[in-house]
Amino acid sequence: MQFRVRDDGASVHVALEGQLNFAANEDFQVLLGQLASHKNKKVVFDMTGLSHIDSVGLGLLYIAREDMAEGGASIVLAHPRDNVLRMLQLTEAHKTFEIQR
Amino acid sequence: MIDPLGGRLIKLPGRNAGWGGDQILKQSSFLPQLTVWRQNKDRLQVLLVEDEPGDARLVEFALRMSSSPIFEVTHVSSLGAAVACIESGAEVDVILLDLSLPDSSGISTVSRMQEAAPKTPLVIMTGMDDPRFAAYALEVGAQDYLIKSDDPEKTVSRAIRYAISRMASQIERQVLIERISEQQRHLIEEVAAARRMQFDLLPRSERVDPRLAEMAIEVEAFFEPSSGIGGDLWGCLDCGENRMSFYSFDFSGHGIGAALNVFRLHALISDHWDPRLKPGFMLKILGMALRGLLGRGQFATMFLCTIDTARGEIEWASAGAPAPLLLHKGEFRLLDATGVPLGLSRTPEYSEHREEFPPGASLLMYSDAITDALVSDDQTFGEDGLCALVRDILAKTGELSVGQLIEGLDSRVRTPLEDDLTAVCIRRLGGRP
Repeated sequence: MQFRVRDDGASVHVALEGQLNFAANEDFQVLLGQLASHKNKKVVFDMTGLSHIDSVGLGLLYIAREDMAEGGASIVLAHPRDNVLRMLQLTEAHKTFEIQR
Repeated sequence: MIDPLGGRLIKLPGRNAGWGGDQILKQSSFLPQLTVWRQNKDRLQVLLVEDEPGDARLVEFALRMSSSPIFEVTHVSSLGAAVACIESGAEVDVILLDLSLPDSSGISTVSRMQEAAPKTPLVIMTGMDDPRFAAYALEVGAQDYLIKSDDPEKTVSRAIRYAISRMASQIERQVLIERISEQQRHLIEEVAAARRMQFDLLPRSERVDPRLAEMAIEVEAFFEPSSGIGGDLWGCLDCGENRMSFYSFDFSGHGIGAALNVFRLHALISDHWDPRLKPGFMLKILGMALRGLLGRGQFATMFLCTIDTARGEIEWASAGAPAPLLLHKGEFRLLDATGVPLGLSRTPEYSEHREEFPPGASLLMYSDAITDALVSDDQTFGEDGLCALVRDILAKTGELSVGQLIEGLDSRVRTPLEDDLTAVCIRRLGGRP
């Protein structure tokens, strides 16, 4: 998984690419470290470039949400596609995250 | 009401702070019992095995020149005498060995000396200035060599020190290898025992067969943890009369952590199971119970259904499990399996579903190892791949079997699979499949 972080003042955009799975764990922890400084902002995870998410990856999103919530930030999952979208639907992620199609 | 005297749980720290490589290295028994590891010793006992009095004198003189360390030399002039010296229990830190002795010559001198003193560093002294011979002597077990024509004053002391430290490293490495393989054997035994325990959680034929026979239900199951033990499980629960419940669940991640969570959820199911409860309400109870137990980012997906053969119905609820397939009359479709996985929500709610499940119908529950299996670097098998496979099997045989499913999966995805694999097919016998 690769990511790019862009802060436009009002919100933070994180473009995720590749696969969000067990192998992405370390990169994702680095990402969480970077996001820790953006308190009280909306963090948008752009999932356009994400080809796959597995159960570990889903767990990472929930960890991110927990961490962000502590800093007063909220998470939006934007543009999930194909089986990433399917995984979010199957696990009713909309009950926890704001999802933008 | 808190008692004024108070009360609390006191957790004493364990005496084994951790279990891992560091711990292994700290164990005193680990430290190799090195008779040779005396780098800082100020006196070193040298056994000089040399039959040429002139050569022996040169070496002894060279060693006498050294004051740090001081070399104390015992000189013998045959291999037999050298072996007798070792066997008498004399303290020897290093052996300087000439290869051409009255009672032995050549490389066999090295092996015979080694046999007598396998852990004592050995420096070969040779008149032959042949690098290939020297390399061979090192290969068969000597720690260093000296060419007799070299100036012994300069080289002998260095060769001895080098040989001692080289031997110490060799012994240390050997002890490490033995310790590591012992730990590995131990770990494999532990995992094998845990694996047997996990397989013991699965339904047993002798218990469920009489009930399945009464209800004319056939269950075909495949269960394979990816790394010895894993985070999957399936089971069945007797509701009495014409009803039987089935479940499968899968914890995020795999390996030992996920397997421990399997035991947790299995125990929770046993504690909370009530055949009168609807599947969705049962999942809610399990989700709330798990919520406080799991670590960050951990959860389980679960599918729970009850088959009622008298009413010809199946009712189910799902906590984000891979959508099971309902098959009947050569057709099939994915069931609605949406729901928040267990452990991720404090107040989970699950929809109850109900469908007809007449004789001839069957249900396939499976873990995401199937849909997450890779067909290429960036493409997973997915629900599309599974549906295509099931379609092909039905076209060929008219009925879905788990054996064919696993076989077909193996031929279409990259193996071995990286996740724990469960596939369970529940069939109502009678009627057309």
